[in-house]
Amino acid sequence: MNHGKNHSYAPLAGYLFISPWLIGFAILTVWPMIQSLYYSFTDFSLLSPPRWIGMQNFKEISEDRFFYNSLKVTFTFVITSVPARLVFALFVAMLLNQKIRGIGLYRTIIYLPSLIGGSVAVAVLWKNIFGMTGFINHITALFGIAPKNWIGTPGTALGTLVTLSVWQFGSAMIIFLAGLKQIPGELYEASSVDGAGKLRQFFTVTLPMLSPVIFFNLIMGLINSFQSFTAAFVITGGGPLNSTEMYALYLYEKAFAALHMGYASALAWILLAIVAVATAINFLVSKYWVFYENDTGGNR
Amino acid sequence: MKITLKITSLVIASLVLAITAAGCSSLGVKDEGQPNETTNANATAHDKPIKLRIMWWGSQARHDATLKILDLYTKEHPNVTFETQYQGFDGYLDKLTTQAAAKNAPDIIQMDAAWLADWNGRGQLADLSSLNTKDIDPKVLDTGKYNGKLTAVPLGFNAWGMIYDKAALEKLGVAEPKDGYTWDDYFKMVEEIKPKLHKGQYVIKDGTTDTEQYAAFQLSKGKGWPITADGKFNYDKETWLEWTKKFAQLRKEGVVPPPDVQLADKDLDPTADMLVNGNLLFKGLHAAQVSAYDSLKPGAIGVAAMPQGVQAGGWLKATFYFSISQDSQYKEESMKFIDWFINDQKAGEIGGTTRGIPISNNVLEFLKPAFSIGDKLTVEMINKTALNSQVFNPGPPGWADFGKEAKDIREQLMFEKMTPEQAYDALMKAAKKYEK
Repeated sequence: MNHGKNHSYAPLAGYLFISPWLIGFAILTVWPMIQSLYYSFTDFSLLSPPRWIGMQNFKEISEDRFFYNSLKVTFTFVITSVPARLVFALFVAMLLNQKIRGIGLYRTIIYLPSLIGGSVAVAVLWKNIFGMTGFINHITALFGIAPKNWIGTPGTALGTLVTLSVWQFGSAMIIFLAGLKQIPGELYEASSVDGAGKLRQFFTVTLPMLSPVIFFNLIMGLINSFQSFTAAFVITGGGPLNSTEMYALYLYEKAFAALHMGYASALAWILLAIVAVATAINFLVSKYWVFYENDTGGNR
Repeated sequence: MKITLKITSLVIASLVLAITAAGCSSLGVKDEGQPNETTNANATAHDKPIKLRIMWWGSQARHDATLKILDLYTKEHPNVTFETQYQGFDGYLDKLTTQAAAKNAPDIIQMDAAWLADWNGRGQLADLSSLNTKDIDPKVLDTGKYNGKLTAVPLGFNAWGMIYDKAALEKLGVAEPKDGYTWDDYFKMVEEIKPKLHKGQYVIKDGTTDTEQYAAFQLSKGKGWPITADGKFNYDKETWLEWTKKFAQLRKEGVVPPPDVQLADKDLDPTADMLVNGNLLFKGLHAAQVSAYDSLKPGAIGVAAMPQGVQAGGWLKATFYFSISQDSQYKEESMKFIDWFINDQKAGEIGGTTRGIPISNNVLEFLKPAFSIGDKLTVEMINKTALNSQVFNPGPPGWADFGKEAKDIREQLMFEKMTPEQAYDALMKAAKKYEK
């Protein structure tokens, strides 16, 4: 064997090694995507073969008031839950970044609920907490507020879902914590020599140094929130008055309850476009506030 | 960082575990399916081991009884075992259709009258004509036929009527509704009761969102079903306005619960059902659910027919049906089981009235002497309704999506985001899409 030959085999060997993933990606992700793209131009009830109808689905969607309602609900959810969760996760991460005894134990205990945070079981728990005879009503009763059904009132139902989403801060918190650990201690020392207080340090050292991590969490949170489904499905079922009918839930209803697979596929592609645009905007804006270590800040 | 790593590896490990477990179980199902077809092909049909898949919805009482019945069948036919899927009504149809789309529907399926037209239209239900149905009232049996062929066999008699908290009425010194009472009597009684109740207690639910009760109200005026069986919008404007304005007034007076409280009420949920926890006195209900209420509130339940107008309000129907999937490999075995299920006295004894009054007259006669209080209440509601009843309408095919629009409009009305007149126009407009 000579070097040249070895060199020419290398890419092939590489592809072979990642082939299990590649095959899985092709069969389980790319192929279904192509299929759903095709279905989005058809009338497909799942039980009879799809029938080509061109742009009809998209035209109907543009006149569908439940579609616009679900967009409104989803955007409200994303705009409130994503920043709230980021702030809360950063806050907890900073608390857990203290040098005190047994911090490892605290970190584990505080992270633990997040392992089950997205599950149906927690959603059911939430339903009870905010329900008529739930924990929240017991608390508010102490202040003389009449009990109400938080998940049955159009004004507060979405709020309960946002709270649940904020409570699922764990994975963002872990990433923040790792990011905080990476910030060199010298920066804090230098800034304190220069007379910066804790608050000043937070805004001039911590936040800029952490900005790539914040950006990462923002993008992940954004994508996840746009597709949020479980909580709305289990806790509110989209009600009351469709005030919690998230996009993904409406899509599911169209696909599996009403059996309009073609229509639902079209909805799915519209969501993909929306998420792509939202992510792209964030990447563009990120130039102005995200600093990488090799960055000199010259971009500004 | 170390802890992060640990946690990450823990997550990954549990994910891997979950995925392998899922993989194994799906393989497992396949493994069980294969030998039945191949290795045992030359065994006699009688002792060939068979696993029938069966799916139903219902309350805990029905689940318990059904599982016992299946055990009994396996005892009598040791080669037949069952793979069961059972749950509440919510989400049942979604799950079933998805399985059917994958050509993987259970062999034996509990079906609702409202779905039969669509399923038959797609040819998904097997012919059940060879079943022994001689003990079934032909009028009820006919509701399971499609183009003259039996594809769904009714499992019980049912009625749409009213239940109430008899114990609470006695305590309040209010007389129970008499046979043949009218809507006027009903509303008058409701308003008389209100001042006697505590805070947080209500007499009846807000009927604005209740499609069944509104249908009963419109039927009692002799104006027919709001959506006719052949797919016509038939909400009578005057009746609709009378009904919704009446409830707007009752809402204001606190006779019916405010919308958010009403939405928290969940039928037969031990903590969330308002009638069970003593916060509601009357509820519109199917007779087949009465014994479940009696088990949650023993001895306190009374039953009545729906109030009347110039005509009857309530209706008789079959509770629901058993069908066999067209994709089933074991049509004959499934048929044998259903035959036994509806005609066997021991099976009927275990089932009681958990699927309504047993459909076979033979089984019914056998069971009658041993009926429990809950069973007797079920019979009583059906008999009271039978005195004067309407013909049931399962709804026209192709109108499934109208339900979502109608629910939204009715809820907007209940939350007072619309006037009754606007709601009527909105309903009429929404229905246009479905009328043929």
